[in-house]
Amino acid sequence: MNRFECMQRLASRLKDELVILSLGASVDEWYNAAPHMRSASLFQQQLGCVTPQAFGLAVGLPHRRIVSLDTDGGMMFNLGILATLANEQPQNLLVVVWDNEATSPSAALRRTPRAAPTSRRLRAAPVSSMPTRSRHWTISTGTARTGCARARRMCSWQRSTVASHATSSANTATDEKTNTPSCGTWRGPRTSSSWGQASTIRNGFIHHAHAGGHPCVAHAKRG
Amino acid sequence: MRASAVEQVIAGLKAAGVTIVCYLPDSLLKELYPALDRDPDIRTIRVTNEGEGAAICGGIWLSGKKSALIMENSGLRAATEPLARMGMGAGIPVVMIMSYRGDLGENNWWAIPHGMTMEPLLNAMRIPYRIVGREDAIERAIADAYAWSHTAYYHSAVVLAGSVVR
Repeated sequence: MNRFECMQRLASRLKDELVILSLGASVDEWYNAAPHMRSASLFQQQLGCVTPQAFGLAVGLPHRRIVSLDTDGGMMFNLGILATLANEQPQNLLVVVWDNEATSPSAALRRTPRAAPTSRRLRAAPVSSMPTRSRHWTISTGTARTGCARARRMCSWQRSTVASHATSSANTATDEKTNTPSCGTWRGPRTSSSWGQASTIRNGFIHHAHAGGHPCVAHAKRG
Repeated sequence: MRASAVEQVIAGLKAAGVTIVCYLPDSLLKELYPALDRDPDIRTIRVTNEGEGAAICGGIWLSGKKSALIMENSGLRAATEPLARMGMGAGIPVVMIMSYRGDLGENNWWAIPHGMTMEPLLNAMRIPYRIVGREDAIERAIADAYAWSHTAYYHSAVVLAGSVVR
């Protein structure tokens, strides 16, 4: 099983979850493996922040299930979050760590062959169901090529917040029917083209086209 | 830190709508942390480093809740990378409350670098801050920090100093 196939299996079990994912090649793969989750998936370019942010989201939205799709490089940047998660035991957070056996998606800094053999096979338990407790998997996909088509460029630079923080009383309210935060609009992210722009919220996330292209491309070597 | 100052900080946080606090405890604010832990209206999360705390606060902000990162000012150095990426790159704000280690009057040699680097770092990061040395100014400073950060989508800081932390 390669990473893309694993993503597809995971995606088939997701419906109402919110996903935070790291930058890099896995972004395009995830959006192809889980097109139905695209509006609920937020990719972040902050190395070492993906799982902490997902945890913060899980703390703030205890009625929602949150998925962190982190990377080995991102996780290694801040291993302390594992201790914090062990301490906090969040019930609504699932953490997946993709191990591509390299320190960069460009594979320019791939690990030496001596370090690779034992981790080239998938080490995760089969994706069976969403957890009732937090789970943390390490998934090694080796250098396997992914099956996603890259022809269609994914340019959905997503920034999100669930609520208009100016109306704090509405922030924490939830729609009982949809179980989503019942909030209205916010002003949009800080980009040259959309600063001040109003946006609607879908599935608790707000989406904008990024004026400057796909940040994933610009920062790929760091991921 | 006097009990009255602790009460002012907690009152300021509550007035600003804060329900979750991430902290890495330090000695100057040592009376504040157990008080936060005891408060039924505030959930506390102990973190392993301040950068992690900043990122967790960023996630909390994404959820629509308000949070605070409380730490010694040395934590600013550890948190600079995630703060730069979240604030400058994504418009995700974190409000920080920190003690002023290394201020004039400091008699611990190890704390001197904290005072030397805090304000230059805050300025380099374009993070507005207010140094508060009087108890009666704490609540106002916290309220102003949240008002600014949630208007600007950028970080702000309240630095507790002087008689507030001694």
